[in-house]
Amino acid sequence: MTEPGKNANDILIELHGLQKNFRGKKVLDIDQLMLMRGHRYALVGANGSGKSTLLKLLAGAIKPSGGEIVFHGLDGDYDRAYLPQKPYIFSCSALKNVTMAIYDKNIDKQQRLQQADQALRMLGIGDLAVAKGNRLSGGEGQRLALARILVVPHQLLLLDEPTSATDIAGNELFEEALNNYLQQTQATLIFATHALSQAARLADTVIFLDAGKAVEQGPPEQVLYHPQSAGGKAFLRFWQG
Amino acid sequence: MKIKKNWLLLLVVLMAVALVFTACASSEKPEDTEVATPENPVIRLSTTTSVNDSGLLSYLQPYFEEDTGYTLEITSNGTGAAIALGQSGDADCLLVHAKAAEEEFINAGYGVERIPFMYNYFVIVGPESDPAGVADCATAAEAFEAIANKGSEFVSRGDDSGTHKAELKIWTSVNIDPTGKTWYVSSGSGMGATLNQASERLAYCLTDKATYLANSANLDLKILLAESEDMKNTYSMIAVNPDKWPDTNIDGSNAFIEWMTGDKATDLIAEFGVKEYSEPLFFVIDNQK
Amino acid sequence: MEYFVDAIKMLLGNNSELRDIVAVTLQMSFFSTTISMLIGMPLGVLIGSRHFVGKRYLVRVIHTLMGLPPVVAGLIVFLLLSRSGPFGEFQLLFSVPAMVIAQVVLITPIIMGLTASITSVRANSLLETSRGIGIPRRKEIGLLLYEARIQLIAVMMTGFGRAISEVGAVQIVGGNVQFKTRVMTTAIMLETNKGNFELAVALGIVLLLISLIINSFAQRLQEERND
Repeated sequence: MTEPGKNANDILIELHGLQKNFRGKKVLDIDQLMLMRGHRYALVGANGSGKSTLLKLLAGAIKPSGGEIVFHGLDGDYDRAYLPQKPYIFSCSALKNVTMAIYDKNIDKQQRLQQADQALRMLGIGDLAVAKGNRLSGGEGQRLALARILVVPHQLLLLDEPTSATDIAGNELFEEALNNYLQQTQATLIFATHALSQAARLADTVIFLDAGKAVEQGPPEQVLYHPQSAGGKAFLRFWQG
Repeated sequence: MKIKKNWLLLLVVLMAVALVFTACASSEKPEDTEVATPENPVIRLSTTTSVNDSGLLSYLQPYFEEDTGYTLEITSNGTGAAIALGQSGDADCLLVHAKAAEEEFINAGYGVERIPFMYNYFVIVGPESDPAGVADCATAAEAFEAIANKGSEFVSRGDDSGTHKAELKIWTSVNIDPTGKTWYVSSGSGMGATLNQASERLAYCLTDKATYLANSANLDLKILLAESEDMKNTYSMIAVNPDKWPDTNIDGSNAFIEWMTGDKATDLIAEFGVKEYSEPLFFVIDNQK
Repeated sequence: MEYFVDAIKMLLGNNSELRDIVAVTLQMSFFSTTISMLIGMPLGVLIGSRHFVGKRYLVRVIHTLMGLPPVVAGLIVFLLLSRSGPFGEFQLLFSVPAMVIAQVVLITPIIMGLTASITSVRANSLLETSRGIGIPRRKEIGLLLYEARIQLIAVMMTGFGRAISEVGAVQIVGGNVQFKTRVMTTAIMLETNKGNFELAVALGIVLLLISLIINSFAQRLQEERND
């Protein structure tokens, strides 16, 4: 599934003995995990399985309690983009929310506004450009947060349940925009989701987390349809993909 | 959890201690009064801050209460407010030092009679350097003229108090209106605070001797002129007129006035302050009868 | 009611002293609130949004200082500025700057503490998001302040209300000097002491009116920002 011209063995992130404790309780414990450049990873698992914690650790939003994360070639401030589960929407206009995310000094104001406007349209909320951020609905806010991420070419996208609040149309637009984005930028995607069909559509690799451990990893058709672990079987038994 | 419990325990202990203290305090009240308690045993005495600050009343109070069985409740305010308490019937007796205001009070029917019973002298204090030469003056009037001519800073109470009124009388006597002059600082504060300002500014100030002596350790001020006749400060007592306010304790007021002008109080007043400052702070007026 | 009319007449009429007192009051309250905000708001944002060792203790200290008795603040500033104190050479005692200093000592912890607790509510979510989209860290304090601006107007009014109504500290360090450091509250104290209760009441009404006007402005500002 890797793009042509890309080295499939090119490791982007290595996790070694990564652990995270909250108030004395171990919430994440990953012995060894390699994430490859240009791939699309879906993190699936029950509530509390450690998906969000792993994304936060990768984003640098929290520090590990033990072990290490090694990044290869992700040194710039803007190489990683992270969308939290409940993204904060700034109280300025939707358009301004998006232009705030455009860091490139070489882009002049007119271009910024154009790019931001285009990103909003891409996610179907072009008509909300002048609406105040704090007046948007949950779904509108989430689309805005996605526009904010997709308006800039990052190398790594870390998205925590990006479509938990959007409607079907929103999902569709988001997946289309994301596919285009990944094609253009060759970026690596790691996202957590409870929508397993979305995981199947978007990801080339599914990582199944169970009680803080990465118990299964493989293509969607394997992990989602033929889970090997007991936890995986139990988790997926209600899902008839 | 444990910490919470400890806090709770501490709180309980503190409350218990507080309870014990209040219990002790209430049991300390003397119960063996030799003199029969009068029918209306509380006298509300309204006086000025300067009188109260001198400590004279708290010195006399236990003797008076033991001799007569009355209880004295003393409130101290600026002269204006002290007299206003008599006007509104919130005091039984006044002890103040502002002749004109006292006479006005009596003329308006609020007071029975003005009974001057002791006096002392205001003094002019100032920096040791004495730029206006106040120490060489014979009277306060001369000294005030010297200060005005030199333009040396002068800090005034500016609060309509007895002291302030005495000061204004001296300015009037030399036909000077100091209001608004750059060297004239109207502090609108009590005597202690005014002396503090004068000390900070190295300025002159008119003060009663008692307050000055009580604070002199912290002040960079010296007495430059004392006991000039135009700085005489007479203290009087006035019983609030029961015709205006029937609820006032006129018997108590009369008992207080009688005791204060009696031999025992006279001796006590004459002794007051002698030990500490080796001179009396107040002189009893002898022409009572 | 007639006191009230008299007070208005005084205010509009030729009573330069009353206008002087109002001017000094506003001047002192304005400067002390502004300086306290400039110090307290950025620091409050930092404290509210960062995690660091000893934060709990620092917050406890700030909360204690929020309840600092004004006369204690006044006394400390008095001793510092007194001719015999460490800053005596500047001759600031009994001046408006001295009152502003004492007020800043009183108000800054209040503004800092309130700002910190307001900020902490959204700090985590906001910082995760802003860092997630690569907004430079130097802009974070500004962002947090901007997002809290409506509540911060209320914080500002709390500070201003404290400044304009404070009496103990300004009496001690200002000295209530006529035409110079006399403010509404110390003037009310003075007139009460003189037994001029009418004038004291009138001054009190004027003080309330000033507070009402300023609070109305602040409310307008809040409502505008909220739209």
